[in-house]
Amino acid sequence: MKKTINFWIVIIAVVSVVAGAILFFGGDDKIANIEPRQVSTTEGVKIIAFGDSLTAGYGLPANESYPAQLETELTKRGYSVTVINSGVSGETTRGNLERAAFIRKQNPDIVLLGIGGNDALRLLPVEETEKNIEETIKILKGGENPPVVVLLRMQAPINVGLGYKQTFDSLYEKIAQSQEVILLPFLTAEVFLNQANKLSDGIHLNKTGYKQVVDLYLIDTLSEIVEKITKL
Amino acid sequence: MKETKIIFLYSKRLLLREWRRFVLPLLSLSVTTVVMVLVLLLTASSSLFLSEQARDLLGGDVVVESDVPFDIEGLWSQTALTPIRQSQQIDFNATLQSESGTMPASVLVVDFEYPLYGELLLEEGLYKQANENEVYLDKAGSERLSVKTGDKVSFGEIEYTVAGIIVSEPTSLFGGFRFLPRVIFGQSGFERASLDTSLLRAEYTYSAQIDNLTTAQKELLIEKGSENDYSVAIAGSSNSRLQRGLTQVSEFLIIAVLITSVLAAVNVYASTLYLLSVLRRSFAVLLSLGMKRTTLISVLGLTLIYVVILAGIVGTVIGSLLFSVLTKYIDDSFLISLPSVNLFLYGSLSILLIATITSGSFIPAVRNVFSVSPRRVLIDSETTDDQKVPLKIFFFNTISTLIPLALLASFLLKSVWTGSVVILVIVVVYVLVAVLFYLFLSFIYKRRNRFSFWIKSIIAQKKADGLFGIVSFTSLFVALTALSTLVLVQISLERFLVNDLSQTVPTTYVVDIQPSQKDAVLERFNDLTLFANIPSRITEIDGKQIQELLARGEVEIDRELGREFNLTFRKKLLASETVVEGEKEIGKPGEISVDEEFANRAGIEIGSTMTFLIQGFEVKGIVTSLRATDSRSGLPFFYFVLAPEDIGQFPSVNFGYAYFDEARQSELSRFLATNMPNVSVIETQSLGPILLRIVGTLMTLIFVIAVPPLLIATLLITTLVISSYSARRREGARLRALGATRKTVMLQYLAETITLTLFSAIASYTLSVLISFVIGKYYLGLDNSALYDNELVLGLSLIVGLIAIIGLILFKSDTMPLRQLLAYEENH
Amino acid sequence: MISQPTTDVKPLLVVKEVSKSFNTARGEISILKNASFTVNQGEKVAIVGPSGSGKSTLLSLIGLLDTPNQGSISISGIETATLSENELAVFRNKRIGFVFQAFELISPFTVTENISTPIEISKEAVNGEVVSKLINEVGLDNRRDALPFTLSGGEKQRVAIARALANNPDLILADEPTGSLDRATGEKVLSLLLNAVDVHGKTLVIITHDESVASRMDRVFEIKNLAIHERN
Repeated sequence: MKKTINFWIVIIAVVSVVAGAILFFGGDDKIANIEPRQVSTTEGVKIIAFGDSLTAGYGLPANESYPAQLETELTKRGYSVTVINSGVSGETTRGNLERAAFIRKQNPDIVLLGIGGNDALRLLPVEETEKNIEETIKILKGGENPPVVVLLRMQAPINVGLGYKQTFDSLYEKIAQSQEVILLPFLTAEVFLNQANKLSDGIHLNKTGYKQVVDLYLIDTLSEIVEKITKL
Repeated sequence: MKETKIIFLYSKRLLLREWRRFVLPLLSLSVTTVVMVLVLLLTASSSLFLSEQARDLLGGDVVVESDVPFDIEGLWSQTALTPIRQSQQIDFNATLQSESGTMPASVLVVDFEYPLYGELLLEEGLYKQANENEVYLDKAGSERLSVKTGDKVSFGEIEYTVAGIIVSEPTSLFGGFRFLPRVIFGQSGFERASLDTSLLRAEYTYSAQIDNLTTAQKELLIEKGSENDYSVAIAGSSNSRLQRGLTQVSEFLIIAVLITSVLAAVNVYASTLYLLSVLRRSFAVLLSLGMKRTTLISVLGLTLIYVVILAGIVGTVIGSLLFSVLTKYIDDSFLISLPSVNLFLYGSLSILLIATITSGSFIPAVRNVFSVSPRRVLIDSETTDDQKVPLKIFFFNTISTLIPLALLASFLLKSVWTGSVVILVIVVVYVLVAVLFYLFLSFIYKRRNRFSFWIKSIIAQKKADGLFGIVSFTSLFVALTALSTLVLVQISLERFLVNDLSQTVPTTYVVDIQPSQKDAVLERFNDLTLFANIPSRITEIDGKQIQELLARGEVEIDRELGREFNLTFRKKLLASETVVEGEKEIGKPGEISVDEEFANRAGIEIGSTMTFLIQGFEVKGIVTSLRATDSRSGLPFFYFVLAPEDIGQFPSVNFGYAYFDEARQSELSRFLATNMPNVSVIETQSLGPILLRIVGTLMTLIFVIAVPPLLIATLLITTLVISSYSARRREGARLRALGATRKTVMLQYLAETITLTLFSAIASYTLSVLISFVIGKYYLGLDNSALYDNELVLGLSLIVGLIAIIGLILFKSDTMPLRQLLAYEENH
Repeated sequence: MISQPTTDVKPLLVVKEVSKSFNTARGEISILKNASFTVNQGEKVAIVGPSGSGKSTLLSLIGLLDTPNQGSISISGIETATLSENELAVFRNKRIGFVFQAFELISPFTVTENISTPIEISKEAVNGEVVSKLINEVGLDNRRDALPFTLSGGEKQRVAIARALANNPDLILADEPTGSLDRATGEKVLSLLLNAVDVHGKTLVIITHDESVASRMDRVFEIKNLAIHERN
């Protein structure tokens, strides 16, 4: 089948870059406000990667998933961290919400929340998705000594229709503002449109893809957060 | 007079003057031919139909599926195949809009060749081709968007016209489950939307029409499929339940043909034997008048040829007519159009078959002629007292009759070895029964004085019947065994088709029920079976750190072990599961039950230790049982089952299934749509009618094919009773002259016949249970074979009754006065 | 001159005005017309006539194997026309002994069994001594367990004679008893039969076309032109 260049991709790319830039430069004050906290002497900073198949590393061995790669990179930079992979393949925001209390109970220092892709794939109502993510963040941030919550920005695939996609994609920024959490890009056109970064299913990233996500979007901000937390 | 002239003259005279004696053999041969023609035609037609079904349901002779567009031509060149036609489809999810709403849909993009096989049925009729402005929706889709044929819908920003409402897709049974309503675009219409296919999470299907695939090519295709990222399905070779069902019915047809031909052979044999016994006296006269034995054999042979030709013509004509009527009837009543087959070919084949079997039974006839002694037949008026080495003759006769059968079996089963083994088994059984019967008779004959006069008389009669008696009994036994076997196999197969195939597949699957939703769902729908699903990774097996070794790039560790696995916990086995090794009870704390196949692949044994990582927590256990799962059941499948105590505390998602009727199903859908939008319901109910139609079709075919052998068996039994009666007539007359009443003689005859038939029925039923079990288990691969059937037992009782009635009618209708029965002249 | 019957002579068989005809494809064929004759107890009587004259038909009628169209047959003072089919069977069994030209032995039965058959049919206990005596009488002591097909023609007919006497009947009916035998054997068998009839004091009706056989009887009846006449 002929490949056609179409203007949607251009729009997505532009939107992503602009959004990424805004977030990257505009997220500073949230990081600046992070308070130092007591961390475990054995595990170091306890980070829980909480999400769906993109967190779990669907189709890959555990060490190739993004949480494992992030832990390696942070360790390389000299930080004492433990990144727990708590990804569940196929999970929707509703399932994620159900698990939030379980995650919160483990008292993490940082939670990386990457969820929503399956809602889009199953074309679940966007309002429902929004409500679920907000509730999840509320639970995570509840109680004493809450963790730093980082929301990872997802995108709906192109075939769900432009209307749905626009609403869905704008969701993350909205939630990040209303819930006052740090928003980092995760699934971007830049990484996603490169076939070399994906498994043959066309939807999940491979080891290289996750490495790019860690290198491009996660490692710097996470280093900064870890710095803040451990600066007692 | 020239020898050949004599042969023609005498055979003509024999046929014309003694035509009454040929009526029964002619009738029996004709009916046998009718049945053979019918069975062969039906089988050929049904096999064709079944392979077409298999192909239609799959959508091609070969179907390749891939998650990415791939080079199908490359595969064809690698496998040296050249498809006659091929079609490509793309399947993905997308949203569609109308004035009244938006709907997520499962989109299928088809090319001009679609569908290669089968029909895409629309409410408006058959789908032909979609132009670039057209789109097709199923009923659910049209309702969701509130559109009808002719209305506009938009996809992306392009408008399309609804050109038809889809009723059924040709591949709907094998296409898997769809969450969403169906929408079909033509290739050109899809291109108008200008979607970049590389961005889609789509499935690419390539169907091809390839005639005469060899086994080697099939194996190569399957091998390619398993080596690469795409999957290859081949019509008729797939292991899916329905495909297996179709294959099994085809195999059943072969069994039916074989059993029919065994019956046919025994029938022809019995007819020839009957003819010989009634013509024996005439032969003796001809011999005494100086005719050479070889000439006599030629006369007999020619007469038989006349009979076979006549029966062949009558049988083929009637058989072909019946076939036409039957296919018309099946078409009208069951909407199954059986493909037409070559009437001439199968007609000729049937005649050839009957002729071969007759020749087979002619060999014993030749021997029989050689054993005719004019003095004994004419002077001593003995007609059936052939006491000399009956066993030797019997062996010879049996084998010569069964040789053509072995050839037929080899042809049908496509293997000389299997064919010969099958027939050898039949021969062994046949001979064994004959020998046992002979030994039993000899045994009680020696002790006959212990019995009352009439029983003694029966025993003596049976012993005196010699070869003829043994052959009749054995033939009856074989006929009844064949019949019972056919019925039992048929029942097993029907049971499989009806229960196994259409009922264990749940009507409803529910996906993604969250822990907080579980109780609410179960409260409303307590007949829903739920399973917890807990994703995890294996970190250790028998001390080997799997993930670490994989991270280091250890090649001997299978990458599959590194992936996520869904765990579940429960204490009971499912209907689809059996423990093949280790503890029968599963789900005890600290214990793990593993799928047998996975265990073999991963080198896991009973006693192995395993550690799972569940959302950051480690769970350890010892493998105590290995389970095998029937993947055809449609029930959930899990590699690992653990104890609720060990993993019950982790957040889990629930998967469930149920057997719901339509009302309950829509109740569930409504309930979930309003209260739990995250939960998906997959309804298989829509598959029900199609599945039932197909199962119904198969059952019809089985029934239609199983009936003719019944007919032939009944006829055979009648022939046997009549020939044994004619052999018994004079003895009866003698007893009556000595003062026995007609009633007593009749009762004796009936008692003898019924005892033997009953004995035969019970023994053959017992044997057929064994045979059908073996056929069911090892040939058809059915899990549970039928061992008892009310109707079969009733049927066998009816046969016993039928024989008694035939005997009674023969006796009552025999009005020849005693004087004449005992006249010196020949009395038939 | 016709001798007056003495007072102790009783008629055993009385045939009165018997007619028999058959329906065939060529129309009705009369075999016998108004045949009348009487056979006294203890008499030996021959019925002679050319082939097809109706001898065998007459014997079937007397032997109750067939029924006349007209007339009556009484044996031992019993009017046979009044008997039912079952009563006729019992009557044949008790009062009549048959010797057929074709022997008509029961093929699966041994010599002893064949001779015992009439007794067994009558449901009386078989007296082994009586049977043995009969076997001895017909000179088959060494063949008592032989099956019919192993016997010679003469032997078979001797079995038939013994069988005819087994139930101690009043009347012996013999249909061409020597017809299937050579002259010498026939002579022996006939002597045996006549001797046995004398010893047991039976009445004999024999059908024959052989004048030498007929000449050895007390009286001879001849069938001619559908009628029966006694020869002087």
